[in-house]
Amino acid sequence: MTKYEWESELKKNIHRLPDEEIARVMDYYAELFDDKIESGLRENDIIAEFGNPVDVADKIMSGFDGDLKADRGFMPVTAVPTFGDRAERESERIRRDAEREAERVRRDAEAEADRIRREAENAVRKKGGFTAPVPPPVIAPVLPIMASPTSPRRVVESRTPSGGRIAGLVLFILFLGWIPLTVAVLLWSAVFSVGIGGFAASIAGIVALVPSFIMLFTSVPVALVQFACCAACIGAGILLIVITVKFCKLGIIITKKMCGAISKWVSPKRVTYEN
Amino acid sequence: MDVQLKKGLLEACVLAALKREESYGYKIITDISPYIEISESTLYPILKRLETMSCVTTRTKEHNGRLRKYYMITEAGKQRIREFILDLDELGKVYDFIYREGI
Repeated sequence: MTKYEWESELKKNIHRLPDEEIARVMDYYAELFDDKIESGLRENDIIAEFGNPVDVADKIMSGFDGDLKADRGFMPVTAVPTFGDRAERESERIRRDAEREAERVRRDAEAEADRIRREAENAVRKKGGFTAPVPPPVIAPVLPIMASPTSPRRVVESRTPSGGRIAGLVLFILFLGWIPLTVAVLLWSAVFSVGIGGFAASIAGIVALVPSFIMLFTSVPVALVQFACCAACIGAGILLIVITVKFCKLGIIITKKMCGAISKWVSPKRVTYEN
Repeated sequence: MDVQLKKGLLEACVLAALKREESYGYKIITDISPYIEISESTLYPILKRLETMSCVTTRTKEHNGRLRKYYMITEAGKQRIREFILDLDELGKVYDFIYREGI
């Protein structure tokens, strides 16, 4: 606890004294504190010698025989513990309660918004036969009322392959599939070519290091130039390998997304109701 | 030492500490501490009571760029010490009795 905290806690606990008495008490302890600092004591030691500010306040209050200020009948905000283990536990408890409450409210709001959105979508689809844009949540509750008042039903979503779309996909692959296939093969060939080139450059650079060491005994400048060329080869090779790896990762991601999109197109989502 | 017994002694100790020269809070505590245990929170009400009884007066003096409150004994305070010394004689008799009969 610091001097400021100790003094604040003391002041909170003698708040019922007259103002001039409070000022007198605070001056007394401030002077004592300064004298002890002057004598070489440290702040922590002085606070320890002063003792618990609540006990000190009790002594002062019990020794005061004048008129006290009226008690407000409730614990003032300033009297909430602000130091020590109790304050830390209180703060931690308040923080946990607030987080739990916020999480609960958020989950409830999301579930409610999801339910309203699905009901609105279904109601609009049933009415007009087409999928209308989903209204914002603030007016969504109106649509279920405008639709037929139904008892709550369970909404079931599923994906069923469409025969027509599968046939269309097959026809596309047969007649025009060679276009995207060619593009893919060309791209992957280019990526792998770069990768192979990178490996070749790295290996060439490493292999050429051996004669470079031998050259050191005959011509040092030539050997140094050879070393530099080997290092450049190895560096370029590593760079090409890294580029290849990056492109491979990108290619895999794109391929996955394309396959996912084709799969979703072939099997459209269907919504059914169950009582 | 018994709290009630100590209470009566502390007041006299503080007055005795101020008998020869004026003093201030921290010095009073350091002067008295070798003889009887006294804390800052104990000293405050004693000084306040002595001031109320006009046994001490106060003045503020500048010290190292800050103000320090000094306490000075009054004639009433000196009289109080004399009365306490008389009480001590009587206390001595009680002490002998307790000591004699208590063992």
